[in-house]
Amino acid sequence: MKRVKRQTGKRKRPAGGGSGGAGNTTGRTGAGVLRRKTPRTRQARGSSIGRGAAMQDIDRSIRRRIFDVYRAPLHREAVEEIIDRYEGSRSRVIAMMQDIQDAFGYLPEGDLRLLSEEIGLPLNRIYGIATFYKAFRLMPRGRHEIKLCTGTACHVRGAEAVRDALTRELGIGEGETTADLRYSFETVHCLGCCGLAPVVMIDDDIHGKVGYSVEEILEKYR
Amino acid sequence: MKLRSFAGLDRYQREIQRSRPPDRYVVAVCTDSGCRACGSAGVYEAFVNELARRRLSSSVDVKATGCHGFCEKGALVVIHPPRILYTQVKPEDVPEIITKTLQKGTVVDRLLYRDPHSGERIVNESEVPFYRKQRRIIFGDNTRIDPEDIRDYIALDGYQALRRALENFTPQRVIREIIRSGLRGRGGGGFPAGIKWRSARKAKGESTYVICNADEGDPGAFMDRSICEGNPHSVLEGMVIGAYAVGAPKGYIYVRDEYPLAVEVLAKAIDDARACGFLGRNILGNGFSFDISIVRGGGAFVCGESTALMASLEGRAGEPRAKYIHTVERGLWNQPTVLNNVETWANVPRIILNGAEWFASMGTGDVSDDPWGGSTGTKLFSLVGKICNTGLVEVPMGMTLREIIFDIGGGIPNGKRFKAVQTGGPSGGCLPESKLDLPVDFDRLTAAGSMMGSGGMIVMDEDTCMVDVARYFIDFLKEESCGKCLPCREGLRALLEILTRITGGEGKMSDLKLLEELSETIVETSLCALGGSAPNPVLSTLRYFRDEYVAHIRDKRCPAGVCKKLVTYRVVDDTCTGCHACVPACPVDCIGGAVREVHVIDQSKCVKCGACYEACRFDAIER
Repeated sequence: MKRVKRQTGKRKRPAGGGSGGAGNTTGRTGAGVLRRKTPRTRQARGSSIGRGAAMQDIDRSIRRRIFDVYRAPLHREAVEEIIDRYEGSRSRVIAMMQDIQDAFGYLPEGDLRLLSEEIGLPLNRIYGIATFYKAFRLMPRGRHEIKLCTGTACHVRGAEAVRDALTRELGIGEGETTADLRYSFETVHCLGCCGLAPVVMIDDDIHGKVGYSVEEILEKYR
Repeated sequence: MKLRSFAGLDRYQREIQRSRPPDRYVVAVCTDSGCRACGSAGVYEAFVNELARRRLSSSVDVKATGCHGFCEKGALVVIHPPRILYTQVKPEDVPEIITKTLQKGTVVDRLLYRDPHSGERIVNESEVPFYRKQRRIIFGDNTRIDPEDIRDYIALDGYQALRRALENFTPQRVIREIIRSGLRGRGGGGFPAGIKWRSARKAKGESTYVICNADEGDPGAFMDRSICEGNPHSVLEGMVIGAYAVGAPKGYIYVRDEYPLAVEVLAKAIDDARACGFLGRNILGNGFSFDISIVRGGGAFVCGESTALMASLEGRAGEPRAKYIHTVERGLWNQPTVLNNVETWANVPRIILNGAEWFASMGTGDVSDDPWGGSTGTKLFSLVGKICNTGLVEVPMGMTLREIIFDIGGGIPNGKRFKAVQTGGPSGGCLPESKLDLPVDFDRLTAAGSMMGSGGMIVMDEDTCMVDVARYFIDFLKEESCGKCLPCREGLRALLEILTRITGGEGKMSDLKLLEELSETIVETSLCALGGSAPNPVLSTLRYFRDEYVAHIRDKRCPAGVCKKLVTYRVVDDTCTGCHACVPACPVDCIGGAVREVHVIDQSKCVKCGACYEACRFDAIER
C-alpha cells in the first residue's frame, strides 16, 4: 500500500484542481486514497461499484463512475444527522466538520460535497476551512495517532531528540502515515502538560518525560 | 433542582453544607491531564474500591478534582480537613494511606513532600514552599471541588456573587465595581475589563454578546485549561455577571480543539447550571435571561486574536480584521461584543463577592482613579521549562521573577545556572538574569521588552541556546500566521530564514542589523497583534543575548551546544574510563570501544542527539 501523505500548507491550491479530464487519471488502488484530480464532467451519483477494485483494465466510463464513488457521500445518513444536529446552520459549519472528522477520522471528499449542498455553502469555502484549521485532515490516518508536543517547555527539554527518535523508529516524517496504516505521526504545539516535558500523546494517552528510546512506548500500540 | 429565588439559593447552599460535616474526611485526587499521565486515574479508582471494600464509603468522600498546580510531583492527593499533601502517589500506596491516615489519623511519611534543602518532611499543603508564597484566589478551590459536581461549588459560596449582583447591584454598578477593582484582561492585552464592558453597554446594536476566550494557544501555558477543567463554574458565573452588566442574552465559550476534556467538563457544568437556574430564562427568578454555548476551535493559534476568534465563531476561516472599529462596538455578527479570557472571567465573581477594594489591595500601582494605573489582583503563571517545581502558580501581581522562580519554583535543577526566563508566550520576550528582580506586572514586563501575555513562564538554563529559542518561536509563529497581511506572512518567513542561517553557522554580522530592521517593519505594519508582537523573541534576545548571536556568526560556535550544525561530540581521552555507559545510550550505535578502553564516536554516523553526553558520569564527552 502506498504511503499516505497529509496535505500540508495552508494556502496551497488543490492539486491540479479541474485541470484534467477523466482520461489522464492513472490507476491508483487502495481504499480511502482520496483523489483531488476529479473530472469536471459528472455522471449519476451513487455508483454501486465498490472501492478498491483494480482499475487497470476498466474502461473509461467505468473509471469515471469510480471517481463518482469518491465524490459521492460515503456516509450519507451519518452526515445528514450531523447537519440536523446543528439545524443546518451555516455558522456551525466548523462544528459539523469536526463531528464528521470525529466519526470517520478524516473528512471524506464526498461527505464534504454533501455538506456543501445541504447547508448551501460553496465547496471552496468548506475546503478553505478544512485547510485553514490544523485540526482537519483530508486523508485517512493510521490506527494510532502519535502527537509529539513541540511546545516551548518540551522544546527546551529535548523534544527535538524525541522527534529524531520517532522519525527513525517509524521511518516516516511528520504528517505521514506508516505503510501498514499502524501509526500516523504529527507534531503539535503544546498539549498543556508542560510539567512532564517532553511529552508524546498516542491516541488519548499522554506519555511524559520521554527519552531517546521510544520503541517500548510504540510497542504498546498494535 | 431548579432555584427560582435568592432565598432558594441560600437554602440549597445550607442544605449542602449541612450534609457535609466539617470534620468528615475528603480525599481530593488530582485527575488533571498532568497527574493523569502519572497514573492518578488508577489512584482515584483504588481509593473508591478500597474504601468500598472496607465499608468506609459512607464516611469518606473521594473527589476527582482538577489541577492542584504542583504538576512536578504528580499524582497528587490532598486529604482534608488537615490538608495533608501526598505526592507521587501510586495505586499501591492507597491501602496504606487509608489505614494510616483515614483510620488511625497518622501520616504516611514516605509520601510527604520532602524539602530538598532541609530534607524535612512537610505535612500540610500550605506549608510546602511551592504553595507558601502563592495567593490562590482563583485556583485555591481546585482541591475542594469536583468539577462535575455543582454542589461542591455552591457549598463554597458559588453563585453567591451572581446573587449579589442581581439582587443589590444595577448593571452600571457592576461595571463601576469592575473598573474600580482595576481588573485587566488576563489574555495578553491587559485592557481594563470594566472599560471594555462600559463601551459595550454604550454601543448600539440589536443584541450584545459575551465571549469567553478559552483558545489557549500559547505553547507552554495551560492555566486556562486548568481553570476550565478544575473549576468551570467560576468561569460561568463570571460570564453571567458580565452578561448582566452589559445586557447580553447570549454567550459563547470558544475552547481550543486540543482540550477535549475541557469541552466535556464545561458542557456538563453548563447543563448543571441551567438545571439549577443559573443559566437560561429568568435567572434566580430575577427576570434576567442568559445562556451559553460551547464552540470548539479548529486548532489555529491566530484564533486567540479577538476578531479572528469571532470570524471562526461565525463559521469562517479565522482571519483577523483591522480594528479601526473595536469589537465592543462591532464584534460577533457586527454586534457589540465583550470578549475576555478564562482567567479574567474567573476573577469577576471574586471581585463582586469581596469588593473592588479587596481586589485592588493586591498588586502594584494605584487604580482608584484609572484602571490603567497599575496591575491588581493575582496572576496565574505556568512555570515550566528547566525548573525544579514545574506547575501552575498563582501569585499577587508585583512579585519579582526571582521569588517566583527560586522561592516557589525551587530554582534550576541539576545544579545548572539560570540563563533566561521567557514570558508572554511565543510573542513575549526572554529576560536575562539581570532582570530577575523585576516585579511582574503588565507595564513593567512590557517596558523590559517582554510582556505578560497569558502567563506562560518558561525557564531556561545554561544549556538553552537563545538563538535557537528565537528561531523556534519565529518558526512557530510563521506556521501560525494566517497569511492575510504581507508583513507577517513574508516577514516572519524572512526572519526565520536568517535565524536558520545563523544557527547553521552561515550567518553574517550584517544579519543582526537586518533582523532588527525587519522586526521593526513587521511590528509597525502588521494587521493584528500576532504580527505586531511576533518579532519580540528576536528583539529581546538581540537586546539581552547579543553575544550569543555573535558567537554563532563570528566564532561558528553554539555556546549552549544546541545548534547541531555547530556541535560535535568528542570523547576526551584522558577522562574516559571506558565504563561503557554511553554505548547503550546511543540510539544509532555509533560509539565504539571495548570496556575499560577509551571509546570513540563515529562522527559520520553521529546524529548529535546528546544522549551520550548525558549518560556519561565522568564528563568525558565534550561538545
